Amino acid sequence: MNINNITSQISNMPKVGADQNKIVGETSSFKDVLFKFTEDANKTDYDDKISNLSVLLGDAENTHQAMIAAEKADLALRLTIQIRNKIIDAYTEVMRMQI
Amino acid sequence: MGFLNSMNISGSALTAQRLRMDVIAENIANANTTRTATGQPYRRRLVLFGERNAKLPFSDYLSTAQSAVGKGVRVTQIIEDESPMKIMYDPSHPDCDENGYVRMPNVDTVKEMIDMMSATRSYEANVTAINAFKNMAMKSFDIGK
Amino acid sequence: MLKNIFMHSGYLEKALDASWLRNEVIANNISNVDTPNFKSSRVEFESALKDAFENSGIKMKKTDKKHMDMQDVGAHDLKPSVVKKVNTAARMDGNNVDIETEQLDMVKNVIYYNLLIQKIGKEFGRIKTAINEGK
Repeated sequence: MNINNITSQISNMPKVGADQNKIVGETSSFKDVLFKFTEDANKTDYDDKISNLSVLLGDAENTHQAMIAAEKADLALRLTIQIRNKIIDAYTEVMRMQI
Repeated sequence: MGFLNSMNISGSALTAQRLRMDVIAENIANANTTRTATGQPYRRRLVLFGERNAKLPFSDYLSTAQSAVGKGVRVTQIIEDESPMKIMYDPSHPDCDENGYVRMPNVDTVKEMIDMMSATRSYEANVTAINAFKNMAMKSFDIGK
Repeated sequence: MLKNIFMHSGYLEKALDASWLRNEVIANNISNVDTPNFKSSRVEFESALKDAFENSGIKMKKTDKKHMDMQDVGAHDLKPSVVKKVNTAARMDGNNVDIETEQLDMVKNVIYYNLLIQKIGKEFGRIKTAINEGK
């Protein structure tokens, strides 16, 4: 009974950095997380292209936003590539397993 | 090029102060002109400054931050100084009247020089502003290096 | 995931936007130093950001080990505001631009902007290192 009290207390403590939008009890699959990520990564590339067009159309508001958009797109691409590599590594590792 | 707005603002001041300096120079050059093309002695001129509000595209009115910044300065008018001309007694002057008095331009050279210095200082302050902005913009290109 | 990665640099971005706007406002003040009845303006942002942090209960203590990353203080919609300076003395032509103050503020702002640029550059660099695993 004591152990149950403690674990229930621990699970009821507010989680630091927990996603506020998640309904308690709902779990998102790896596929959902992956898809959301590729959506976000795609958006950074899109934002960068929009930023490029706004610069050459004379619509840019300042210079740092243009540079930041480029950097974010670069980071998102690198992250995507790394994730892809890791997924492939995990896949080949699993395929290598002897049943 | 909206991101170069700061430079447009400072540039407008350079133009306005330069025009002011031109008018001052003309005053000084004509400080002794007793007969212009109209036959009258030269009358001092001065510039009036006003805030510049260029015609904004509609989208700028919607973006409140943009419309909150002014667009610099411009010379609204070049007017003549209505203060009285100086009267000098010089019967030998070709333009004197029957009593020997000459109407001289209402230009005080000392005052014009001080005005010129003020215009020069304002001009330089705006040049400094342009350089400061250039420094900011160039530095921002280092993101990602 | 991406939103969390870029949450911190987002604050630097907002400060950069405010600093950029401040440069425009100061340039406008300086350009109107001789305009009759002109009243100078300034940009307010940092105090509003500080209020947002204080209201959300975040303390800036670096020693707090529980905080791995800064929580979202809900400052997404915070925008810099341009405020007219009304309580500074005006000269005879109604103009209240103090050119020395403006020039000083401009220099300070340039340094501030450059510092933010360096910081955000380093932040992105660290993210890149983390992604590349130091390679």
